[in-house]
Amino acid sequence: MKTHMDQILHILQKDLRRLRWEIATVTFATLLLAWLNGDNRLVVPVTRQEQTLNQFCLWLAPLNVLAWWFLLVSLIHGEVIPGVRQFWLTRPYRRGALLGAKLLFVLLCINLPVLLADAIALSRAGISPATVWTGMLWKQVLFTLTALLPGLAIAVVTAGLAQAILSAIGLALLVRLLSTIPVDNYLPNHLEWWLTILRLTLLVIAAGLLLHWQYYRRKILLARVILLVPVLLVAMLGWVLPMSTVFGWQQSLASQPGAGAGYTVRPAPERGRLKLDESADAGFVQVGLPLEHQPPAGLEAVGDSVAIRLTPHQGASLERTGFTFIESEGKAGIRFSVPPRNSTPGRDARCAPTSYFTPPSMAVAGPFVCPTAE
Amino acid sequence: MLMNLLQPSAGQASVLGGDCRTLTGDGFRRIGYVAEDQEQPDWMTVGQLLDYCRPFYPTWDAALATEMITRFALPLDHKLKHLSRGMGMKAVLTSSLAYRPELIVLDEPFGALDPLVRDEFVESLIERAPETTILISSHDLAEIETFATHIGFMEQGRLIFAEELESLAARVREVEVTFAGSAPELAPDWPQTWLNPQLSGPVLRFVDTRFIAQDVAACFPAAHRIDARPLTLRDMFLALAKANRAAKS
Repeated sequence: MKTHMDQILHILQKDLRRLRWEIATVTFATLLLAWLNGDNRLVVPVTRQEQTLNQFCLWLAPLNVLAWWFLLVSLIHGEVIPGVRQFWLTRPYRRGALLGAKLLFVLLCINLPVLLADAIALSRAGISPATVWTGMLWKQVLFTLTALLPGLAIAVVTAGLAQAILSAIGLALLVRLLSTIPVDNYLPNHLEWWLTILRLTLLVIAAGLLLHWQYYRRKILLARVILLVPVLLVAMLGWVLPMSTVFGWQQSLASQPGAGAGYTVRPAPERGRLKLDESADAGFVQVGLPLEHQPPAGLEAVGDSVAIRLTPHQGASLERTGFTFIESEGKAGIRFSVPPRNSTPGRDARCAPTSYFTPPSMAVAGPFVCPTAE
Repeated sequence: MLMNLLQPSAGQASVLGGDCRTLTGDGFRRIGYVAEDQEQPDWMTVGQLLDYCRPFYPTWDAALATEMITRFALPLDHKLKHLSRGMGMKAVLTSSLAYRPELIVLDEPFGALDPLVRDEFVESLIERAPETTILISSHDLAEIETFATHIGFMEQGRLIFAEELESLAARVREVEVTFAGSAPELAPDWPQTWLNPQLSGPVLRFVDTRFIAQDVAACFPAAHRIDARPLTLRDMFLALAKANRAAKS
């Protein structure tokens, strides 16, 4: 084998032979599922047969995902990375060729059948795949980055199926556990995608590093740390990412970043107190902030995409989202709850609020910051 | 560690002129490695294993492979996982010798092999000896002694010595000194190269790792008789190991 490609194809051929039954079974299940999913009658099953098939699809779908994952792990474990007793370690395997063979297998035996399955499902549903091929390819990219790459990352640091399953369950539990820890840092809905992108980027970088590290260096302990760190970071990102920072990123993407400057918002204490919600959460202090706002033509502030930073004259500053726009008795403003540690019940607080508004359509104008008077 | 499977914590070693820590990929085209506990692709048949290995090695000698298959009576259509331990080792040996490697490294190759398979195994290795260097790591010293030319002794990761078996056999002797009366007390300046002294009535026995007959005779002018006999590898190993353990304690 003179070239890398010769060796890639040789190893690929071996893996195809070794896993031929698994590939056939999983591909058949995927295509069958796609065939059934493309049947519009199963969306709202009426007949008994349709209901049975619908139930079958509901069962088959998660099993299908597990089967792909099993295939992926089996593929990598054909040449287990951790350990010192493997056959391939003392044979003239070029590490790059080995990695290349595994990735080519994934492309041929996982991506391609899934792409084909999508095409079948679309065709059956009456949509020509040719009209949506870019979307289909994009889905494959996301599928690879979000599902296959993490699977590969787990497979390259484990030495058997049981180890891989336990590691996956352990990591999932860890993320679940961390996500249950209450935090006081929320992003407006329109900014959530930043968190998703950052998490995905972290996972992709970590998985890429792991693959490279394991195939070229085989530093098992370090690789396992590399696997754990991004998982922790992904879980904790939502706690530590300041809303104002994310807002700044979002604003920089706006096609007309300055357009929002025409939106004026100012506190309007002269309008009197806002009526508060009597059913507010116990232990929390309600804040009613009378505002006067004048949106420019073509823009609309949406309640769930507004955030406010309150900088009180005493106590810590606070970023709040998830409050309600209200307009009653001719008074407009926003109402939200503040944890007790940020307020003194029964006492008015003097604050210098900064409002962050995210218009519903980023294409029209970007988000903007309205520094408002005290 | 020589095969770059483990990272050294200290020290260095070179294999075929290169740092063992850089040994990877194409470097293994010149090395045949067989270990008793190595995991093999058990799902392959013997024939598939050989077919799979062949393209990795530009020097693969199909005639030699065929000859070894015939000699070992290897069943080409049997999966490795269904072979006996001996047959499995023969299959792996065939896949590791067929490309005429410059260096053959065998890690505990004789464990669990019956005597007949051992003989066949050793015979195949000896045939390769003129064209290759064979390094065997083994605790089966009796087996090694029958064909090894050089011996290295490692204890707890340290190479205690490495030399030709012939010179080793010449310098390490069990010395038996017989006195007319009782043997004298051992002197405090007892040479460090005299290991494991044992007094039994008029007889003093010890292992001399730098045996020179005149020197021994000079040390025991009152000796009635001095005998020195060569040791087997196993006895040498035991003597050295016991002496090291005693020195540590």
